[in-house]
Amino acid sequence: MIDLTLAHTTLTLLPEKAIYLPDWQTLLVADLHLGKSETFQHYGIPIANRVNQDTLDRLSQLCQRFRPQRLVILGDLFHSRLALVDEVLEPWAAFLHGTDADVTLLVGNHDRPFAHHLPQIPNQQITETLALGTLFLSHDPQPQANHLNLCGHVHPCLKLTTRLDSLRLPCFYVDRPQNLILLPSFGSFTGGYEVSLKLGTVAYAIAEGTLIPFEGKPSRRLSR
Amino acid sequence: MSCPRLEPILDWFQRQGWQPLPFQRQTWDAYLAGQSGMIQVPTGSGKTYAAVMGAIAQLLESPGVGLQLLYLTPLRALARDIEQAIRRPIEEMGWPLTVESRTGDTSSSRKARQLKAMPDILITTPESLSVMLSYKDSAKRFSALKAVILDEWHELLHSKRGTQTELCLSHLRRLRPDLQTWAVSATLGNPQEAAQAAVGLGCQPVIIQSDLKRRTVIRSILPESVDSFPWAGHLGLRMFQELVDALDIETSTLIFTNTRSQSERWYQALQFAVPEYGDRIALHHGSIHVKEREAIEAGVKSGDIKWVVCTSSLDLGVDFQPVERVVQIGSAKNLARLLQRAGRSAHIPEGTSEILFLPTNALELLEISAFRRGLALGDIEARHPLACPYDVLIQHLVTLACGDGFVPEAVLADVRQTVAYADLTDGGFQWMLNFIENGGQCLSAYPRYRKVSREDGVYRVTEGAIARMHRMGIGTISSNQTVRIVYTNRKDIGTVEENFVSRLKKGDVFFFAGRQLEFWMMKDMVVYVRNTTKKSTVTPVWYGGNLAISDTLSHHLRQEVANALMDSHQNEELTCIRPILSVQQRLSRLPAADELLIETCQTREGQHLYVFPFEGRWVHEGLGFLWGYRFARQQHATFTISVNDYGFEILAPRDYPFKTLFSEDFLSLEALYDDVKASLNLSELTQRRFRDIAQVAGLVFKGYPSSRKTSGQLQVSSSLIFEVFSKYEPENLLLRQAEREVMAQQLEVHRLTATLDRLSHLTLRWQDTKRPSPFAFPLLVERLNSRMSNESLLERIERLKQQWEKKTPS
Repeated sequence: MIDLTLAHTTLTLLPEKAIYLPDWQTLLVADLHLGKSETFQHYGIPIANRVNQDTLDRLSQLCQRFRPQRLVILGDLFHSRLALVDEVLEPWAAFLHGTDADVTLLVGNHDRPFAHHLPQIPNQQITETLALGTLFLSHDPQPQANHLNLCGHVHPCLKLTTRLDSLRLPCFYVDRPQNLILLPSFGSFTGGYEVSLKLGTVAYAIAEGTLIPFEGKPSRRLSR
Repeated sequence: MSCPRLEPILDWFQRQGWQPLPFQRQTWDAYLAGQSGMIQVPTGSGKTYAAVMGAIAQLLESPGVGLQLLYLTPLRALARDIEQAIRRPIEEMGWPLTVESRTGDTSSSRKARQLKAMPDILITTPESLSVMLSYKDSAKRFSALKAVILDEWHELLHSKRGTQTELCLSHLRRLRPDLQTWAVSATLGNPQEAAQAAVGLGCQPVIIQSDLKRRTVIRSILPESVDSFPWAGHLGLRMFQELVDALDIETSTLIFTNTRSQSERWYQALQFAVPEYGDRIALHHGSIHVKEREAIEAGVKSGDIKWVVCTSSLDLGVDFQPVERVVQIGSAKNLARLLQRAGRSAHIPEGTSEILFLPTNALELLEISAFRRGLALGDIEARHPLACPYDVLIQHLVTLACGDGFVPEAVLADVRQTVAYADLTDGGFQWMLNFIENGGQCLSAYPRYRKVSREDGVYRVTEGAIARMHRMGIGTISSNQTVRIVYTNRKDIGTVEENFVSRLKKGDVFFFAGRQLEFWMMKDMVVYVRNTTKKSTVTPVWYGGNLAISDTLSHHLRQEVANALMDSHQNEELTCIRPILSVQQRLSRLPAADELLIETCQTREGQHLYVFPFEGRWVHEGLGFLWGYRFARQQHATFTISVNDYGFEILAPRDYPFKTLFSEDFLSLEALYDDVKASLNLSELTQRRFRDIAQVAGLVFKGYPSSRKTSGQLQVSSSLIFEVFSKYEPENLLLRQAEREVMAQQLEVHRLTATLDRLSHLTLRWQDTKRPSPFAFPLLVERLNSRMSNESLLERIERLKQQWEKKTPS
């Protein structure tokens, strides 16, 4: 894990694809995409349901480890309307039941169409964005003048290529000029979008339980 | 001799002033005797009429109602020409037969009408046939079918399209047990197997060969002096003046290159060399927009366009009567391909085809000589049907389930009558059924999954949405994610691969479709560009351009090397390359037929090991990694391995004792499979293979043609599916298929085995050279090299990071 101090706040980046805010006793994860496998199944593409449980198990482990007062899901908790079936909703309800944290769900582009149909569960709040001191949490990037924006949506990935080898790794993407941090997608069945490193950006790539920083340099011309 | 049933046909031939050729008569007689088989004749020798006239004679004798003759062609562009050729006698003789085509170009209203009322004769592609089987009532639709013609069977046979064709035919034979099948093929090394795949097992195919002798003459375009000739490289563009000198703008000429990038570059070179011929020279390759390609093809036919720089996009297809000359730039890699291209000129029976061969580096002169000797001996490569690709059968099963539904026992019996699935196990078939019905083992407990459902023992697709999605995905031609290139006024130019575009920024200039284009912006998978005169040298690179020389050609190539300096063996190419071979002889050695040449050389880069089995790049890749692994097992090191068609290089740190560590065990077949698996990053190769498999098996939905983006909810990369399957269902047969394809098709393990066996009988010749020899030099500059070591993922990342930091200016 790597501690960053930005906007006078300590942010603990976790190779488990989450951020813990010790000052706020708050755990942040983005883009769980629960029920994505069910959506695919509906269209005849067989993806195992166990990806949901895997996602929730990892989230439970993090909650047990940090015992946060608050858990914020930065959007896209559910993948689509087709995800709202018992086999998906029940394990989610069981997770909420088993955690002491207050859960805040920010609405993402995937869950917006059915945000009002989400089952009402006591310790779950639903909102568009959330401000925590100098931090501004949202689903999609919404850079703020005076707040550090923490967001999901992008599913950032870093592609490392040399003449001889190439790798694609999920990452945290810290963009200082824009004053924002992109969280990697947390869900076990989610893809990634390749981000490019520019001056003032750092990508913390995730591999085998560690975080490896890659710092952006002045951009290069297309070489060939 | 005179058969009354053939009278109408003979009548028409007589009116044309034609005499049926012996092989045509033979085919008609065999057809009318109820037989199936394969015609193996050169292109342009009257094969279409040989194939269809027997069937037409039968239709005239005993007319039926509905579709009776199905003609399958690999290219929809060919369908038009075939339709015209078949229409001609029908219209001239007033025969009561209807002919139509059905391809991707056919309007949907016509397609819908055809489904209700089929013509007597239908010309279509394998994909369109599959789609027809995916509609209800196909049993009724094909109930009058008498015969199927498979055109250009050699093009389909060894690919998944061939497998798909075999499967469709197995189904048609269930509907029509007396169905006759006739394949038409160019010359192949394994006609018996090819014919069997066409007619299905349980039928004895007749093979008809013409005694037409098509002479093929190879002439090379030689450099003034070999001194100025590059020892290596793929372009050899400096030869453009020699090329222009050898050509004549009044002579209709096809100029074949091996890759799309090369065709772009040669087109530019020609435009630069003879700007005054500008609009009489055209560029044709598979990524250029179809409208423009059609315009070029029409231009060649009309004579307005004289020279076309092209790729395999023109290997077959449109009958180019006016083409008089064919040029091959760089090695054609196999004899069959060279013959096919040579055959694009002189489209008359008994004609002589001439091919001008332009070498792009010095060693290709040896290949030209090898080509000529191989052709003189009548050698040609074999093409084998694929063995049991699960993805194609999964697609086929869902296709049938969308249509009339299927009964598993019947389908299993049918598919086992194909060559591709003759050895399909009960277990494998059960797995596939379970996969489409329940989504595989890991899904069986869940109710949401529904692709195919079973009712009274019949498997059907009941949801319209799933059937529609499936029809969109029918076919086995996979492609990388491509983006359209469009002028800012929205005129289409063609497509390029997304990863090329992702490196471009606004204002960057690149060459495409023979144009100099400036990148303007990209939006919704469309790249907007403008013409520019700004300079640039960037040309898109398309995936999958590399071919290896075939086993047949590599055999001849080794003979050339062994005999190159013998006076009795000379020809103009060998004379031309002689100075270079003399340098090779002086610096190192020219290996005799019973020798394996191994060179070692120390440079600033480290210790090089060069090995020259002359077996083609894929075998060398396998062998290079295998030896690298076997070396590293004795003394750990990180190697860089480079390969080309002649040999491979292992680059090690300085003073690595290759020769001391080497032993006979390096040629051992023992634990070959395991060693190869251990030496390569197999999961990465497998994942790349899985991309195509996932598409064919219907796991990746590419979207409806009308919508620009795939629907967001179903957007997924095959690598993500690969990951999920590997994790939750490692026994999935599609994963195993991917691994098998890597072994068999990419690494050609069967050839690797044969090579090791061959090498073990050779005398090894170790030569320590002061500087790289002419044989080694191309490997030294080869760019397609790869690393091997036993580093962990984190070590790999750390090294990537170091290199990444080095190349980025800080």
